[in-house]
Parts: sequence; C-alpha cells; structure tokens
Amino acid sequence: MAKIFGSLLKAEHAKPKFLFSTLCVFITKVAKIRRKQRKCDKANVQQPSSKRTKTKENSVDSTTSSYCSSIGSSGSGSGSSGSNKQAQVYALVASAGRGAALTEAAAAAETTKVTAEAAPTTTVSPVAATTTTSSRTAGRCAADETVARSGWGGGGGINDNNAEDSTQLTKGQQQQQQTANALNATHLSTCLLTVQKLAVAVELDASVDVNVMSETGCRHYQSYVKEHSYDTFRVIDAYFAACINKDAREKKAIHCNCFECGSYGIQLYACLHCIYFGCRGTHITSHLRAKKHNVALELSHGTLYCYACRDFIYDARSREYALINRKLEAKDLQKSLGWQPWIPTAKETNLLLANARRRLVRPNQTIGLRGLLNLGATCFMNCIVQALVHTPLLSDYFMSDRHDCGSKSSHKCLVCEVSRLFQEFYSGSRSPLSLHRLLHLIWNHAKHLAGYEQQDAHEFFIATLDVLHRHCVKAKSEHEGNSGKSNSSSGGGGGTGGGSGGGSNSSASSNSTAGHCFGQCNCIIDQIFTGMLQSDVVCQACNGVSTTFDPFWDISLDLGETTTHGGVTPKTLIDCLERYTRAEHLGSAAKIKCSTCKSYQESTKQFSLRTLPSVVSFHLKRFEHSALIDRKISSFIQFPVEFDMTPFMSEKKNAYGDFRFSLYAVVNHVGTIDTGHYTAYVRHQKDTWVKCDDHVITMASLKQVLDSEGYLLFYHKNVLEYE
Amino acid sequence: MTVSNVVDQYTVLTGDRSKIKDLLCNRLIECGWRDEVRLLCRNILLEKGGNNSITVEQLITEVTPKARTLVPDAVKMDLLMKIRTILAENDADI
Repeated sequence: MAKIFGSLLKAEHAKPKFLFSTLCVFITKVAKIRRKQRKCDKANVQQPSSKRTKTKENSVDSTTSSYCSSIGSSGSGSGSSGSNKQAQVYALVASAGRGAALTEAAAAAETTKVTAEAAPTTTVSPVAATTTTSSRTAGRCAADETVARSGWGGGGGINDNNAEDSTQLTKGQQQQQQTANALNATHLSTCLLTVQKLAVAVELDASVDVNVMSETGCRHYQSYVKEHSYDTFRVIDAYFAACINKDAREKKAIHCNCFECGSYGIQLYACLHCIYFGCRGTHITSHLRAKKHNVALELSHGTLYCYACRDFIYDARSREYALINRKLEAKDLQKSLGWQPWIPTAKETNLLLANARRRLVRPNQTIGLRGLLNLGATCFMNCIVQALVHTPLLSDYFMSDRHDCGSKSSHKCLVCEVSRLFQEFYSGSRSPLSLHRLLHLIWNHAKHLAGYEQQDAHEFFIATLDVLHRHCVKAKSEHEGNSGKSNSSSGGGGGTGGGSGGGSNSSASSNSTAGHCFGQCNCIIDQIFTGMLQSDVVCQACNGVSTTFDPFWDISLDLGETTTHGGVTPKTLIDCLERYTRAEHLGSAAKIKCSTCKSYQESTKQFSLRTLPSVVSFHLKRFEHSALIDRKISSFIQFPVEFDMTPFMSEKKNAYGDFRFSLYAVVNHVGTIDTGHYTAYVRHQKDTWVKCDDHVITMASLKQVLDSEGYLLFYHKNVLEYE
Repeated sequence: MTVSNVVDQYTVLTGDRSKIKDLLCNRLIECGWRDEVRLLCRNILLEKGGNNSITVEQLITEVTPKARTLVPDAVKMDLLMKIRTILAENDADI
C-alpha cells in the first residue's frame, strides 16, 4: 500500500543537481578559498593516489578543515613508525583476537588513560573536540605512549597538513597506513572491551533474538572465525560500520578512508585480516588478492564479503553482534533503529511452512474485496467497514499484525475483531462476510447504536473510531503492565520493515507528542485519523486574538444556504471548506470576554487546520434537523480526486509541508431522511474503483464515483512525513 | 583535502551520516524502489543465472545504472534538503 502512495510521489520537482550543488553551497559557506571551481570539479572525480598527493600540496588552506589541521599540528612529529611497529601491531591483533591478553591490556589501558588525562594536553588549535581526542586517545594506548602519539600525529600530518613537511608527502600512503594501523591495533583490546561492556548493557533489556535460521557463512569464513574468533569483526563493525559512540565516530571520520585513493567513498570495505580500508571494486579486491586475505566487511551496511567465494556471506552469530552494535548506535544517536532485514521467528517459519501456497497480487485481482451481508438495516455499518478496510495505513497496520492485546480479552476487543476482519478480507475467499460479531461489539460499547433501527453512517464511523481508540489504549496499558520482562525486540525491527509511515518513529515521538498534544495519544487510530483544529477568536475592539486547539476525527461541512453572505449555496467541496474556514461574526448577542481588554466585546471566530491527519474524512451534512423541518439536502457537491489542503492550513507558509490528498472512499446515501440505503465506492487498487452495495461488489469508473452524491468523503495523504 | 572529504568526515563525526543513511533507506523502501530493484535483480538472475553462472559483481554492474535512474526525484530532493539543513545548521562549527 505504501507503494501505491509511493508511486504517487513521482511528481513535479525539478531534477536537482544533486551532489554538485550541495558541494557548491558548502564550498561558498565553509571554505573561502581561491580555487573554488577547481575544487568543485575535483570533488566529483576520484583521484588516483599519486595525483592526489600533488594536488594536496596546492590546496593547503587553514580554513579548509580546521579540526583536521589541529590534529596534524598537535603532533607534527616524526611519522617514523617502522616495520617493527607493524610487527607489534600484528602481535596485538593476534593476542586480542585470541582474547588471552585481553584483561592485561585493558588494565594497562585504564591506567594510561588516567595519566594522560591528568597530564597537560598538547593543545595547539582552539578546536576543542578533536584536540582533546588526540591527547585522550594517545593516552589510552596500551603501548608506548610517545610512539603512539607521534604515530597519530604522523597520520594526521599526512592527511591534512602537507605544507609542513614535503618529505612526508613523498612517503605518502605507506606511512599513512602504518600509523593508522598502529592506532587501530593498539586500541583493539580497549575497543573490544568497550563494545562488550556496552553490549552487555543492551542485552539486559533486549535479549538477542534466537536465530532459527542457522546461517554460518561460507567455509572460508568459518575457518577465519576458527583462527581469529569474532572479536575483530565485532570491533570493526562497532567502530567503523555502526559507530557505537562518539569515540567511534571520531575514529571513523579520521581514519576510515580508502588506502588507495583516500576517498571516504560511498562503499568502503575493511579487511578483517589486517588493517586496510578500500573502496568497492578494484581497491579492496586487489588488496585481498595480493595479501591472500578472504574476508572483508562492507562498512556502509555491515555485510560480510568473502573474496574466495566472490560473494556476500551471511553468518548468524555475526549478525547478532552486528544487531547489538546497531542498537548501541541508535541509542547513542537517539535515533530509531534503521532498517533491519526480516528474520522470521520460529513461529513465523512454521506458519510459512504450514501455508506453502503463496499469493501474488497482480492488477485486476479481487483479493481484498469481499461483500458484506446485510444483517437487517446494517448497510450503514457495511459501507463504513468497506471504507476502513480500504484505508492503506490501516491495512498496513493490521496486515503486519501489530495489534497485540494478549489472549485474555481478545474476544471483547474491537481492534482484534477488525484485525480478524482484515484476515477474512484477504483470505482469498469470495463469499460475502457476516459482521455479526463486529455489530455485537459495537452494540456493547456504543449503546446508542444498539437495536435494529436504521442508523447514521457518520455516527457509526465516529463511534467505531472511538471504540477502536479506547481499546487500543486499553490494550497498550495492559500490555505495558504485564510485559516488563518480555520486552521483545521484534517490534522495532519488523515494524520498520513493514514500510508504514509513522511506524518507525512512533516510539521515539511518543514522549514528545504526549506533552503538548491535547488528548492525543499514539494509538493507530490517532496516528491516522486525528488532526488538530485551530480556532481564533478575534476581539473587534482591540484585535486581540485568543487561540484554542481541538482535536478532530472528521470535518463536518454545512450545505445549506449561508446566512451572512447573501444566501449562496456551496457547490463544491472547496466552497464548503472555504465557508468552514471563513471568519464568522459571532453577532452582538454573543459577546465574549476578551482577555486583553478585560471586557465583553463582539468578536469574530475563524477556524483553520493546525495539523492534518493522514486520513481526512469530510462529512457533508445532508441531513438537516431544525425546529421546523427535518430534511435531506440532495444538492450535488462536486469533489475532487486530488486535493491540496494547503489553503486551509493555519500556517500556510510552511514550505516543507505537503498537504496533497487523494480520494479513496466515498459513502453515499440514497433515499429520504427517514429511510434509505447506504453504498460505498472504494479505491481497490490504483485507479481501480469498486462499488460496494452490501454483498454485491461491482466495478465502477472514476466518473461514477465523482458523479455520485457523496455523504462521507475519505481522503488519504499522498506523502507521509516523519515527525 | 577535498571539500567532499570534509563533508564526509564532518557528517560521520556528528552522526548525521548515519541518520541521513537511515532516511534514504526508509524513503527508498517507501517509494517502492527497493521492490523494483529486487524485481530487476530477479529478472536478471532468471535470464542469465542458470546454475550460479552470474557473480555478485556482475549483477551489481548490471543493476547499478538502472537502479540509479529508478530513484525518484522526490527522494533526491528530500535528501538534498536534509543535507543542506544539516550543513547550514553546522555552518558555524566548521
């Protein structure tokens, strides 16, 4: 369903000059340097290594990157790290890998850290963040402190501060590698300890999913793991793929670039045998070939690559570690967990195996359509149910099985009933469905609708939303009450995979929205249907404005003659909305106490839409109940398929908002005010409309839909935004 | 030190890189791009991939240009805006 609206996205935006213009903006703002144009060109071309060294000489400019140069200058020293150091590095990797010398190294790290922090730091540049890092990280080295610091400085110098020593440049890549190596390796044990410590904290509140699919990678990876254990993978993934904390991000920002071309490119690979970063393609593969290393880690997504197999490999244990790292990252950056591949649980696997037949949904397929039996004047219910079942966001929610209210009270829960209803609609069966259980639940929870009389579809719609909302809240509170320990992590990962708009942000935004929204909770009904109405009362004496906000589920529009503006009757939905949002004089009889001038004054009142729900439903007030006469207004009101609500918003200047909606369901009433029949037009697939008349479902054209009278109109937002 | 490298480093450092990546990921899933690309890969595999005769690299080289053109302009626009805002916000820090 998201796809349907996604395809609506393809729209009018002019094609942006994407990367190029960003860089241009950035250049003018940040780097006020001479060769603007040249640099801009350069940025788009990946430079071969030798050429890059030359151009760097020219482009030295202190404003280019102040934080980088600070590192360079803080340790502008030797860069004389030789081969013995390299050996030391490998020894450390090996020892940490086997985990034998782990505790010792960690202890050493702890002590040196303390001394380094106590000692005066060698700050040169005022940029605090990175200078402190350099000193701190230098101090954290378990190995010789001075060597480590000069190593760090050498690395930085080559990267960024080339003017100082041109001989460094000629040595170039080789040294850069070694110094970076030194840094990585000496920290490996410390890093591992950090990762493990943090991971323990996460594992406490979110147990790792027990993986039913026993993926073990390839045999090359297995032998790699046997030799090196998972530790290297864990650290590399935690520091360069997921970046679990600030320290990791700093390390990645400074060191994680291609050893061939220096690019921080889109897809970097890290060799898991030695310390080497390389771009996708020849850079990494030539390294793997030359060194006869097999396993590399792709850093932007954290996928393992085996050079011997020439393929990406999937290993269950590694994935568990990676997931822990992703959770740590999400926690550190206070963001939601990014997209995770769906790994079926044991229950889901069994269900899939038990239901081996798959259904492919093609255009012109009737799956999702079912007629509904009329149980005796229940057409008001049938048409609303059809509209609800065809609400994309609602079907996303129910089809991904996200309502969970425990087994006890599910037979009393309307949300569970609607969930079952969705299962029935998409079961593939074509026979009409009987909604007696739903009706019974509504009767129980909305007493005013009980009985066999004809009811108003709008009233039923609002009552249904109300009961659904109450049951959602109840289920949630019950769920939170008894699930302190069984807080499974599947909800977050699976939910975002479902591709529903609000889903991935719901947990993050719940706290912030609860504070300032008025009676708005975070249940699925409120997420989809609740908007906010703003009403401004303007005092005619002092022009003081008092503003109030009210949540709404639908917008009821008057159709009768207007009294104030010369008896015009609205002809279109837009007319109705204009009338609805027009400033209205409250009259001399209804004076309101103005808070600014402290007296009763005449005033005007104006409605506008503060926030819009994802689904806006309009109720055309066709049934007029006055003291004199009850009548039905059958006048034709034209309504559009695509509808931009921007003119009716409180803040029209909000440039980023997209308030375009499209029609997806229309409920019609035929007959008189006392007796009649309800039918519904619903959009089944994109550009496919069907007419639902109780148990009869027929194809319909868009023209038929637009020519119909219209009683309730349902519009769905085209572009769903994040909060 | 090219400008793009500075941008790269800076976004990595602040953690915005990972947020931008998530945003892009979500947008591409939502707009159906991922499904389209999956279908593309599937078709190529059905066409040529009898008994594992096609490698990942081959698949990637074949799919990448097509997949790039499939990215909707709205997604690019959205991402561009996001990057712009981030860089503008942090203008003072750099």
